Amino acid sequence: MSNRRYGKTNLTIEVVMILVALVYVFPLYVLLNISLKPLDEVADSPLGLPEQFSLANYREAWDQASLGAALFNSTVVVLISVSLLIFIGSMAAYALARRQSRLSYGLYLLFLLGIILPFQLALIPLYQLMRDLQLLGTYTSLIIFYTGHQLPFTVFLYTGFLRALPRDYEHAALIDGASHFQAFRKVVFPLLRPVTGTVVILNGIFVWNDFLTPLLYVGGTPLQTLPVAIYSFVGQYVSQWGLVFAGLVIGIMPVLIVYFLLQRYIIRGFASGLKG
Amino acid sequence: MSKDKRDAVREGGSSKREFSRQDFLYFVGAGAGIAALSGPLAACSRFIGGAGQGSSSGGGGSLRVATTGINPEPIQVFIGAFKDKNPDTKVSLTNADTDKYQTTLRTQLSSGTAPDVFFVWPGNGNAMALKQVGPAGYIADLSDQPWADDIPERYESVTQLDGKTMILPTTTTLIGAITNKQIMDDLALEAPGTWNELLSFCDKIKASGKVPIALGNATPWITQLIDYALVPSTVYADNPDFDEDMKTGKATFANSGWRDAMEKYLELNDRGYFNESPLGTSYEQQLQLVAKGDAAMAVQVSTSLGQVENYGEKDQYIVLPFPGNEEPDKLWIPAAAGGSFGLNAEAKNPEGGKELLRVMAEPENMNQAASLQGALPGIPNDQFEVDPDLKPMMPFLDEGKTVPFMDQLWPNAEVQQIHFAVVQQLFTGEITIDEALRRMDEAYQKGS
Amino acid sequence: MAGQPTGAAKPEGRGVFALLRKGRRGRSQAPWIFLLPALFMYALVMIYPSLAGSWYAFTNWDGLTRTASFVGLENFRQLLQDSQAIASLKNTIVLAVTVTIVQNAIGLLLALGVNYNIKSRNVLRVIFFASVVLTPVIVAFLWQYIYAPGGALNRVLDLLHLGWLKQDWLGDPNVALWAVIAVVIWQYAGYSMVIFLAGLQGVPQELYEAAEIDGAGTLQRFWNVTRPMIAPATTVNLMLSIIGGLRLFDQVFALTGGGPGYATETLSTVLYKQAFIVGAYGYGTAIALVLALIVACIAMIQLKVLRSQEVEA
Repeated sequence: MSNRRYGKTNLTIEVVMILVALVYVFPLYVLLNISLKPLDEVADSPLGLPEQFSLANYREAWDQASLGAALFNSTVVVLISVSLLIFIGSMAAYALARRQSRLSYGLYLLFLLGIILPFQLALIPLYQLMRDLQLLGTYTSLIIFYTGHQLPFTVFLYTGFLRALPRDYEHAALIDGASHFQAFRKVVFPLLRPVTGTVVILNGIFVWNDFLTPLLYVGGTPLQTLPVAIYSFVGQYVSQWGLVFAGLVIGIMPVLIVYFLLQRYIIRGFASGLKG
Repeated sequence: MSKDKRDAVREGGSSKREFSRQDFLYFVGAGAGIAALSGPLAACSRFIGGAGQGSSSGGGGSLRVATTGINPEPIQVFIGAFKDKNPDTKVSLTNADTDKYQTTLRTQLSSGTAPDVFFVWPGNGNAMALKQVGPAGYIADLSDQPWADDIPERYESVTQLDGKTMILPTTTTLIGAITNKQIMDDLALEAPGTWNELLSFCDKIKASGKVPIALGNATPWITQLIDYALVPSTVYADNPDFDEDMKTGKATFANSGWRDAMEKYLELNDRGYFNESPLGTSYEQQLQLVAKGDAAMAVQVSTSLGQVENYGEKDQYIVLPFPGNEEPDKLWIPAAAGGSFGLNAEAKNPEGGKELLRVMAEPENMNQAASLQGALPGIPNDQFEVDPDLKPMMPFLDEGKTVPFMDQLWPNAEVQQIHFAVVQQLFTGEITIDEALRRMDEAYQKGS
Repeated sequence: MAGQPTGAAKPEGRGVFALLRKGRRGRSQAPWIFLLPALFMYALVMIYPSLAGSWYAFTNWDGLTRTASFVGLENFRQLLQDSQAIASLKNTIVLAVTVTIVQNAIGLLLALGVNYNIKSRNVLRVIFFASVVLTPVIVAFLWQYIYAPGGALNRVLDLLHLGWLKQDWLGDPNVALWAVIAVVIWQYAGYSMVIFLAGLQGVPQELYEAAEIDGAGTLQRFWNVTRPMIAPATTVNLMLSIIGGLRLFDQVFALTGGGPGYATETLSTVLYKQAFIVGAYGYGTAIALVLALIVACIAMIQLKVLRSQEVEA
């Protein structure tokens, strides 16, 4: 893959990918479309372009559901949870990936179990634990939940990639007198940048979109997160879909922007990360 | 740090320790940084909690309310009226769709953290219905409230436990055919009063190129509606005590007018009166067909009228009774207590909760909320102005030719789930009516 | 590591620090303490509550009242005789296997495509990823529109003179499951893509250039250079897909509720209905445990196979 030449192959692939993307993005077009229309237009022609480009849905959704506050809450929870996950998860994965004992394999499987367990099992006991710790209605309850819940996934991801990472670099650092933590922080962790970027975005979405736990833990309080706020527009009989979709678009945009930025600036290749 | 460690570091760190002094400082710095950033937040109760939920603190109190299924406007009417009288009380409201609501509330009730006032389905038949939640002792006895005696007699069986009133029904909902007036006018059709009149009504509509009845069976709770619309005429008109008979085992689904209803349901399908692929059509799509005039009728709960108008135009639709037999005076309709609210037996703010319920019971508020939903008030009163589009249904209410929605009187929530599934299977042709009724009986006999 | 005696020096302090100071195999091993915070959080939030919650599987709890009675293995016995639940197992496996294979194949192709040097790569990545960010309720709403009898898909087929391919996508019990599977693949192909990208971006340029110099064609370059280097990403993706597919609940429930009839019922939908709707929480928990067991078995087998393929650094 040459980075300089943009030849015939590049062009062909570009065209193909764009065509695929157009087909792929069709449902999203529908989503955006509905968010810009009043409901009776939706019934008229669900797929046509809006007659009047109207941001009314967005304004109304923002006001009625206090989306500003909800956005803030979601952001706080995501930022803190994901930071903790990266920190705790990467270190744990380092320990697991670098040891070859049966114990470490066993622990690796133990973490894998966390991805397998159905959430219903833990739902009620965990809720009651939070109740007893008087943490219901706080950010902390959500942060603890997400950190614990996403650790298996995070550890699994990090371990998977760490196993393929050559040990030479950190050994060199260790020989030079660094502590394990320094070796990890200065040598290994930077090499994991693509993985960390992936961890950030995949965990980020999970926390950002999760609905049931915030409903249980902070529903009805000013700490309500975005999904809970948006879905207050959904009723069994009457749903203001335009508002829901507008709210949803407002909710997705930050995530997509973050992903875009991560792509461009953080997830760089092996080659550039190492030589330093 | 121990003296040994410090010596080792000075010697150039020949032993690889996990964390050196540098790391320690790093942690302290990072920790301080985070603490500084989140200083304002860390200080506040958003992280620490302990204030608990719903505790009254000094001056104003706080009230927690949870509801479902109701579009935002009606509940806001109640909360707004409550706040006018109690400006110091903070009201926090949660609104979630049915499944999530049932999951959340049941978890909260069994953990003792449920809101003060919450939505309860009347009667029985689903996970958050009175007869499921009440016997466990979670709902407070409200018989002493001023509105308790005003609840119509026909709702007593679904709002009371052991003769004590437990919930306040805020709406009366009906099931009828939401019909597009334009189509009726264009074809000069009159509302059908018997089954055969219904058939010829549909014939004429079909001949004109429109869909007679829009049906959205992809959405599970829609599947039951036509059965519910027919059964009052095919079962209860002749035997109003049918539910008592079912409880004692004297009657079953299989040997009753339910069979007739299901046969009629399928007959409509065989005659091609439904839209193409009802199983692939959702609730939203069903309403849109009627709203836009592509279909003439949709058998629906009256509360869906609002959504139809959202998709179409106001006052273009009328709700007609759906006949199930040949005798016009044996046409009965389903009319039930709708959205009801109960008081948490362990409410942190019981006085506030009772106050909210009293506000809800006031005719002015109840009427306003009901009209916003295309429903009638749960407690009838003279001030209510019936939406003209609902007028065709009123005589039945006045004459008592009504039956609660059938699931409200079933012993458990499984019967309804089975009903949904067997209707879908009847439409795919996987099972026969015999089998469908047998499965419903089987679920019924599991008792409570 | 030359010159360092392994394990020769005695611990230089007492107690905990001594223990932490040396791993059993020598100093180059990462210390156990790195694992502690993770283990603690995990145990607190998942292990302990799941164990506590599993207890309900041996009771007849309805999920609501404050009391429940112990019923031993009764729920499991009931499960073995529950023909609906057993039938749903078939759907569960079909869904999981199909999704795993197709979603990852597409994800890989997408990742290869956007990793190439094309101008719109960053925008394309965001587009393919956007579907992952949607919530199940919205995905269901959109696709119900598209799959409706008069909806977009059928209309497009008409336009392309492929009208004979039209189906009642969500209403025909023979087609519904596949329609649901297609939606899941659409939503999560971007997820697989992101993970494959993480792997692809770790492949050093030099390897490709060396292969090119040696005269390797595109396919050979892929097979000999790319494939082994993305083995960890492949393992991660295949494992996550199979586990996620077997457990999938939200999209299925929102799209069809398990219907028409029981055509798209999976173990997860059955378990949810029993636990939270019908009021048989104990029974639902038993199903959850059985599901976990099945997933664990399948996952273990797949893991063994995949790990043996990985290139160890």
